Amino acid sequence: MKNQMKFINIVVVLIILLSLVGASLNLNPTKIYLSLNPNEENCQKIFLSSQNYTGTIKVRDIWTNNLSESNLNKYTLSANDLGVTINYPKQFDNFKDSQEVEVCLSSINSGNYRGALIFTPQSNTNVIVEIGTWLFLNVSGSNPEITNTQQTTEETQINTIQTDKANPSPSSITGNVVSEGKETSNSGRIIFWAIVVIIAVILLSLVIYYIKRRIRWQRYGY
Amino acid sequence: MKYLISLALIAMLFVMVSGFIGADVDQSTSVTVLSDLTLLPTPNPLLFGTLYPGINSVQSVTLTPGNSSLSVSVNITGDPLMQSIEADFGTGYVLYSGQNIILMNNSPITFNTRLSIPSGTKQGTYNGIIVYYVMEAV
Repeated sequence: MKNQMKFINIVVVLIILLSLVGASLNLNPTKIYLSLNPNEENCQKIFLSSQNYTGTIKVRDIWTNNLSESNLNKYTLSANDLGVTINYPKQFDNFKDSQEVEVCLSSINSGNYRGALIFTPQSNTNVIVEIGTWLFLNVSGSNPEITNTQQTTEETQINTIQTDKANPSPSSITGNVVSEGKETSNSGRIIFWAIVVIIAVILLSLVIYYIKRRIRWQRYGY
Repeated sequence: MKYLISLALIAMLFVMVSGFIGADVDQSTSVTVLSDLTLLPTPNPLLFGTLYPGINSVQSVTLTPGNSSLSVSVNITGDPLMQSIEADFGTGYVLYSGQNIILMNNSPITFNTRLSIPSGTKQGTYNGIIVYYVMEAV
């Protein structure tokens, strides 16, 4: 083919995003679970930090109907499409070191929803970082406006996710450690105070006995 | 009377001893572990060099995660030619853009990417950007 014979100089340059910045930006938490009643709003804080990035960070949210979907390319819905209201700062102009981001969620409809909050730093060199936090929203309770026909399927899927939440990944081991210690402490305190009450009763009995004996001695001389 | 006094003394002694032996010392402990969203794609930039129409170029790519397992979604923007880049994860070449890759913590993966230049492609420089959306694997 003539075209094949023809020398064409094609310089292909791909800039892989996130490689450099991915090491410097971090989020906590990386997933948020919220259980709400319809029209109830709940807020969570996300801590965004970086060791070496300064500048603008844009924030956006994306959503899906499929609770088991983890491919963000398939998150083609907006919160509005699902009846979810989400509020957060859309942009940080002068990000440096760290930033606390408050995310508030509510929904008019019952159902389970999955989304992601994506953080995109500015780049003058066409290097862009996109990291994010998962958003799992469980809205339950009676509401006449419920129109979500996929609720049954989604509830099944969210139950699986909730199971993961009940057995959290190594990122949250705080609860078990602390609660076990408190259980032991409470039982010890109960035993201690029971013994104290018994002793108090015995001592009170002794006091009463001596008082009666003294009165009898004063009255009758024996 | 003696019985009551003895009982009280024994009870007091028990409380004193249990105060040393059975008392609970509360020591709360907790830790907060952050997820590591580090991802290192190499080479960076990914260069396919100078090609002729009808020719393809294969480049090896390595994705190296940090200490957390990651869910990585790939999206290529830019010239349509660049959006046609394919990747072979062991089951044959598929369109790289749109893929979702689960990376286990501290376990890099290496695979081939391929760019095919269709016949009739005009001479010029074609640029693209590969965006990796990095999330914690759940």
